Amino acid sequence: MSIDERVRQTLRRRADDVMVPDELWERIDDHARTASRDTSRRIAIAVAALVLALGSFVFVFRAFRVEPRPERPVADPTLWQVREFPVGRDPGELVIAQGSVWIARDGVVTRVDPSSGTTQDTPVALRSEGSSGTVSPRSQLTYGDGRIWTVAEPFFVGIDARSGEVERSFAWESGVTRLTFHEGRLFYGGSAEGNGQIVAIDPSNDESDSWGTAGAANPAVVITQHWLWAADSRSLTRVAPDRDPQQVVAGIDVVDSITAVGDAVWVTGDGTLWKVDAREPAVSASPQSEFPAVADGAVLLERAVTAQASVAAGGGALWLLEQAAAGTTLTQLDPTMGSPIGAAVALGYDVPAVLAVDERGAPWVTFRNEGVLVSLAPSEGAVLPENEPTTPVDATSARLEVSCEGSGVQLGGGSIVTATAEGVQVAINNPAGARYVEFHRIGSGAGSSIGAPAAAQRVFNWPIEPGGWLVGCIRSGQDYRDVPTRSFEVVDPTGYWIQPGLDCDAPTVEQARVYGDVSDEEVPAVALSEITGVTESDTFGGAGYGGRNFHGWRYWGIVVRDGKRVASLKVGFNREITIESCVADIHWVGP
Amino acid sequence: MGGMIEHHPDALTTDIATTQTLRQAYDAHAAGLLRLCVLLSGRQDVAEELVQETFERTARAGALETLPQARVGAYLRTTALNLWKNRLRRLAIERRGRARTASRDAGLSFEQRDELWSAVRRLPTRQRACVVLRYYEELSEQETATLLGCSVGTVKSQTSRAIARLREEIPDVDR
Repeated sequence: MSIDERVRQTLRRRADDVMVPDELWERIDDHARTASRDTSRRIAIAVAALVLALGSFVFVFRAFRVEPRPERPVADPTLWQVREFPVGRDPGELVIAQGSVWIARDGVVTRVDPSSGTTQDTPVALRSEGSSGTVSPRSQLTYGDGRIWTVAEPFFVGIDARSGEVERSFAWESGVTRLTFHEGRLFYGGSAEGNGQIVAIDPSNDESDSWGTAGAANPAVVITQHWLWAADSRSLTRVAPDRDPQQVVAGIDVVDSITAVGDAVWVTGDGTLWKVDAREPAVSASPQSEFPAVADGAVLLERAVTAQASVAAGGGALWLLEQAAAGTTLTQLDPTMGSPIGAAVALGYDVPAVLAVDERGAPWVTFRNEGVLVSLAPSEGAVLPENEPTTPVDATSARLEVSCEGSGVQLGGGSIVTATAEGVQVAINNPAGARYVEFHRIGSGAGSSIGAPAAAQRVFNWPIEPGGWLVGCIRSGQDYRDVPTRSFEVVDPTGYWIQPGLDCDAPTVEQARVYGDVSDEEVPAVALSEITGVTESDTFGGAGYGGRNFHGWRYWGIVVRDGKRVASLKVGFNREITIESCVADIHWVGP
Repeated sequence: MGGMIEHHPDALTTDIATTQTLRQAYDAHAAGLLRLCVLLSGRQDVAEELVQETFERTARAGALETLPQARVGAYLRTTALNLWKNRLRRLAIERRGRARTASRDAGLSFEQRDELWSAVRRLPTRQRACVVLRYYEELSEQETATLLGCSVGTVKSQTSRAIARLREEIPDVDR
């Protein structure tokens, strides 16, 4: 039986197992009736609203009226100078080098001279003895050492970027895709026995060097300052310079595009834009973990984008291309936070093929059906948002400045904040009148919220543990997933944070109470004096940042022995004491 | 009239008519729609929510009163697909949910006995959608592209990649 038929039968068999629950109709009917009862009331409100809306509509209609679908890009000409170059339908990979744009197409590499608009085709579909045919170089194109490199199986082909002539070719194995050039070597993602293979070739002597396997097949390769990143369509793998270990970045399971800005990697897939921070050394090797991002903190940021989106970077600028029913748009993003810089630029309704960004930070996009290459450059005299990141990547702040503005939240002072011994210093301004400010670990449902101040700025220390976080301003009835959020990172170079919990599975538990004429502040010290077994070589410290008012306890202390958390002392607000111990010699001796 | 509560007769008639039309549409299309949503989402609970919301939105839009009978099914299917795509955009919830589902379903006998279905569920979203619409709904490439809001070429490539991946994951499948 063919696989087509087997898939068909499997789907039908699975569908046959689906039972329609009896209560499904009742749920629908209930909602429909409730909605109907509300209708009359809503009609009255709607009539009143209609009068108001009518005036607004006229205004909005003028501003945003729907025009017939334009065939051409529709970027605002006062802001953007849009140029188009016909390059033929269904263009492939796109590279910008030596003042020209190079596009891989079936059997040829097309060079576009933006100054004159002329094109020049370089045939590259070579044929070797014994080979049954040629392979289009559509997805294999990169630039390095003055040459445009492509693949026409079984050859690597180097085209002189000045003359446009094929200058070098050498035979290689088949299955080469996704070329990248880095420090004199060509890297590609191949495939062998169901695994993606990463190979580096020195084109000066044809010598190759295996970087091992990553992913399922033909991974795209991106190289940052410290790491090599291999992305197949379902995973992102980080490869250390010594090639071992290779670690799967948890939390990313669909990869449509990948690019690097500075030492961070940006990925799109399945309607998400992720920023992966290459500086963070710990990456979970287990993608099966339910909340892997909590443990590793490698994914610093994630945002919803359209289902078909891609990112590209160049000249320090990051651009996002999104395709949707409302048309294709191009948005410049802040490479620190991923926030839009200025408004999205509408580019019509054709299906985009490839996005690339040149060394000046200007984007280039090819479109499949119209077969055009579109370039975008600021118009002369246009006032555009700054191209620079809103926050330098390496800047750290001593205080997290949160401001609830409009329906969103802004972060001032930087997105990387350094923890103090008392926790993370947070300042909240609330001109928008939000009810709460919520903090959530990226990749986790865990978080905490604090009441937003009514008027004046509020400054306080908050026990936000090191790692990546989201912050949002919440009104009544909202969840942090309903509102715009910003991401930030807490760093703790001094090691103030002590992770709560013990390093054993079944500690002994004793409960007691502090009696007598002692103040609330003295209770932890009194309780500690009634515990035996803590030696001078042990370290005793407060959980979190100092253990005060932590996770519902007045105080939570932890004894660390030989690097292991072996005992804890928790003091409740009612003076009840809980002692948990992994070792026999530490226990309660008081009354 | 004193003491009696007046009902507007037109409103009451409309309520009853809407409910009857909704019930007819439910009887005719709910089962098929639920199957499609289970195949797309891989989860019965998510599929039920999608079906429920599909009927509610369709009723609210008044589509059942205005559409020809023959087009109601296609309208519901398009609505369900759009709702499913919207749901996918709520990414944090969706991804965590998928992880939880994977571990929760690990012991199900169905999953164990049908390796190919498990492999279909592991396909990336767009590839799975292409496979379900092409092989289960038996839609053409053009119809699939229209429903998913992408090009025919994308449907071809996504379906082809999906089948290639299924071949890789199920070693005993006939080539």
